[in-house]
Amino acid sequence: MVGPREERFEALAGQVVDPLRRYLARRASADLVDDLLAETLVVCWRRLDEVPSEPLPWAYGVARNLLANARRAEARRQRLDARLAAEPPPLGPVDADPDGRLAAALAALPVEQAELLRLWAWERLERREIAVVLGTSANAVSLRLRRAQDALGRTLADPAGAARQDRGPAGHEQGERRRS
Amino acid sequence: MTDRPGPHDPASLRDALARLDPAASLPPADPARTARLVEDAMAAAPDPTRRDAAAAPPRRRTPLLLGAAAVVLAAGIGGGYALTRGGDPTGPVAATDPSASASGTPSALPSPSVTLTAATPGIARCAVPSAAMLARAALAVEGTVAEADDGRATLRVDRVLKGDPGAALAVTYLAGRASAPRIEGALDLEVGRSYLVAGTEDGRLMVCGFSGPADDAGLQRLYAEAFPYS
Repeated sequence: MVGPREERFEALAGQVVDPLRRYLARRASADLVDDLLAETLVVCWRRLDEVPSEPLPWAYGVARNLLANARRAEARRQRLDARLAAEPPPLGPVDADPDGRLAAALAALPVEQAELLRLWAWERLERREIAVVLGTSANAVSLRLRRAQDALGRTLADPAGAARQDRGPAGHEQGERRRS
Repeated sequence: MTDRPGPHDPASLRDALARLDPAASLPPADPARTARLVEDAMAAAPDPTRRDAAAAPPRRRTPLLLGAAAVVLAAGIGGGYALTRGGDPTGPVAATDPSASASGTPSALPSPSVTLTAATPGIARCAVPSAAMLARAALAVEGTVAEADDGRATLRVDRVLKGDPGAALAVTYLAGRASAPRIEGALDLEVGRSYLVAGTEDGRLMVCGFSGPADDAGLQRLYAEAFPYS
């Protein structure tokens, strides 16, 4: 028997499954995408009553947390974050970035900045939607997105200089910034 | 000036980045596979209308012990949500047995990048904790105390509900008063025990019923309501 709740969930799934697959495929190795997608749907089903009228950013937020926890669990299991760290999904067509500068610049950014740019350019989210994914305010997203864009521009213009600047006193770990 | 068309103006950057999208060529999901996923999801959580079932997993037991204390998140937090990372996140994350790391294997955890420091407990009364207030936290995690010594503890981050603290979190829960008499309402951290802790955007740890043992059912419900994604 299919009740109204089931119908609502099926309608929701129809809206979010494909975007979620893409979101996960952009951030996790292929063998994890299906598992994480399934887990994300379980959370959506469990929390169906809390899904907002614009479900996708919310669903990205669910996937984001599951992905972060999967990374943590994976790191714990292997003691090295080998699978996730060593096998980021391949970036898009080579001819889109023939010398690899853009991919390198993106990878060189602090993880938070790179993720903002991905949500903006890959998921094509607006600032208020990114705010939902990250659980912060649209104003904060605007500010940080602007900074991330500037940082990417600087890195593209002068990769070595931007890297030097980034290794300032606040120092992000080099290994970490390539992870997500 | 960022509106000026050019290789680095936002619109061009967005388009250039979009061309790197690794999922651009991903074919649409197979409808049969999607239907299966939907079925599996519904089967995996057979009683979803009981919200308390999701909010309060049965493994947690004891009552909330926290009360009034003002706690300051002291170290290296930059502005806003961009909580600073540190340590070696690609390195070993935690000892399997948290109690073992208390005595001799601190290297099992990466260095925490964020330190939560308890201020002198205040005399102000706590407001009744609400999910709406908790939802404004910039950082919320569930973590197990791996080490605790002289009023300072390191939590292995087991689950992130919000923010990005890295794999470990340092908490100075009895700042300078490890041997002082216990103050009612102060946060106490025991090795091997799990806690839910939250910190605000401006760097204060939220206590007053917002942080405490993870096996506290009331606290679990509060976190589940405040962070429905997780």
